[in-house]
Amino acid sequence: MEPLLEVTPAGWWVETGLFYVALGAYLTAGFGYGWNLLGRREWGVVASATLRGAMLLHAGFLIARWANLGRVPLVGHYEFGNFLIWVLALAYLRAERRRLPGYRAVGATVSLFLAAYIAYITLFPMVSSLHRPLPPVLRYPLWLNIHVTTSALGYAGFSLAMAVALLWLVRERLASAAPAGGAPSTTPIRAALDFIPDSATLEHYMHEAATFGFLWHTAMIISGGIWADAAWGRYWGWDPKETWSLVTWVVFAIYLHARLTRGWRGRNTVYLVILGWAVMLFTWLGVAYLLPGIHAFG
Amino acid sequence: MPDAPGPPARRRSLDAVAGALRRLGSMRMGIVLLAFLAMTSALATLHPMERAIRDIYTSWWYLGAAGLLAANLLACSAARLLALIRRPGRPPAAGGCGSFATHVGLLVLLAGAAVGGATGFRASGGGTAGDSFAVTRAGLTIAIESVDLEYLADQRLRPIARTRIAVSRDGQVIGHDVVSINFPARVGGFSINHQTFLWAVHLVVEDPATGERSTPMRLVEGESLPLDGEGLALHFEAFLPDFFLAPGGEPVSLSYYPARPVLAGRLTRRGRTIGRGLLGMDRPETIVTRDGERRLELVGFENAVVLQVARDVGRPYVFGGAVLMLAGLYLSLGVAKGGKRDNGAPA
Repeated sequence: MEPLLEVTPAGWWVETGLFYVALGAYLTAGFGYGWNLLGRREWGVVASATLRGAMLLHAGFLIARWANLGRVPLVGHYEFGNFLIWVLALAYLRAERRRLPGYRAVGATVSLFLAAYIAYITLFPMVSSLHRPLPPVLRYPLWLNIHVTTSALGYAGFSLAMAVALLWLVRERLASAAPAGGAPSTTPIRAALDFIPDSATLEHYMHEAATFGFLWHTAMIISGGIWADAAWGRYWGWDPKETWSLVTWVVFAIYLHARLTRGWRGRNTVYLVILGWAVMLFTWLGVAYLLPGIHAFG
Repeated sequence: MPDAPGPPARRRSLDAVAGALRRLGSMRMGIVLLAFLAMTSALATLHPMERAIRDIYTSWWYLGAAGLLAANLLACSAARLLALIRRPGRPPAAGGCGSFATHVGLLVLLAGAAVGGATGFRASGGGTAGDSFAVTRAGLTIAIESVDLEYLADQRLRPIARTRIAVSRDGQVIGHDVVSINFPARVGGFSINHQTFLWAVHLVVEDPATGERSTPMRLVEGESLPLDGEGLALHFEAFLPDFFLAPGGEPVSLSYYPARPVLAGRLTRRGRTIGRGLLGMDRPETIVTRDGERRLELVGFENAVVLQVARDVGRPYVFGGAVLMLAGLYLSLGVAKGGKRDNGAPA
């Protein structure tokens, strides 16, 4: 029988209630960003405020789960996924605050990723929301919290970069589909094109997000090495999770070098970011389900 | 931008060095090597880990590519250093210093890993309280003074084993420490880590015909106890600390706490399984052997631990290089500037 922690009914209701209300708010914000992109500019402010509210509610959920578990909720796909969603929303809102108003276009694609991650933690049958106690190897709060937090920050940066890359591709597609000339904002395509920042600016946003992710991903690998040295007596063991984290790091390192040193711009850098995000996703999910290793913590 | 002042001969030699370094440390070469290492590393994860380590990660071509990448980094770092020092009168930019620090950090990390891999070693040993094992290559003897299990609130979770050890070299004790998961002992330049704990049982074999009883014999999980001269043995498969017979008839343990300890064993004749059975505390079982009947009795149990002893002189350089690399990244990627409100348009 699987060991589980006892949670009071009140604690469970608070946690579950906050979770679903926060999810509803995230999805509402996503619709708002979508409408905003298609020309209903008044929805931009609503979406932004709703996303802030969703984040607050979600923070409440994380705190409630923390209280129910008696530890920071960072272990397993459900808890990590929740934390990643929260950090991604935070990273996006931080960038939005600095880059208004054009950055709200990114909100529409970021919302797709928030929705996808929400779908994963709520609909995928192998993701469990049960309250599990920590196995002994994870009972090292200092490194557990540093390692997983840096990991979530890295994934959030890469996801944000991917959202911008997607918007870049959408913009290119719309630009090729839009009729030349015409009055601005008379059709949804025209309205979106008028609102989405130009390709060079989007590429700058993408680079900024990838840089943020790369820095934290590096910190994650280093903190993992220090912890692995204490727990397993080696800082690197070629475990599939470690290896794929390194591969993710290498793809983004290539992207940063190609852009900064060789001056790559445009479609090639967008494809590199998409590749990096795909590798990141495999590191997070693919490795967990397809490649057995010592990083299997539920 | 004016060239750096200095005698022409000196400048020419600097240019020649810079040119050579540029070729060796070219970005194209670095990217190709990184891509190659990433692809082979990713493909290697499709194999079992031990095989991937043996056949790929430690193969000559993989290590050769990593060595070439290190040379590329070295040349690239040297070129960056030259670029920094050939700007007299102008303070180096944070980005340039950061980039230099990142590459030097990565180089130090790779060098540390190479030195550690080439000169370090790893060995395992263990036993129960009172045992000791020698690590010949290190010239050390590790004496296990005690093994204590800390049961967690939920005893269905694996407990935490704490092992008190004494480390000796040439007969002299050089240190005492307690080892547990996440908390290794560092003695005399060696790291001693907890790997796992096992159960050891104490068995007494009695000949019912004569009433002769053996002294308690210790058997650790995975070991076998010979029962006659014709190859009959009891193989210790598992220890079930909190025995329960599941509805399907399968013996399981409900928790790690030894409330109802049972040995799950397998009788073998010359390595072939001829039967299975359970042996509870103080509930002897009689077995018919070629030498006559034998009564087996489980009279006690204790914990054994497996420890890893390792030496890695490159470790401080790996961690130092990693920290330098991270600091360099922070500087070079401009994150330190942060917080400024702007419209985000590229310059």
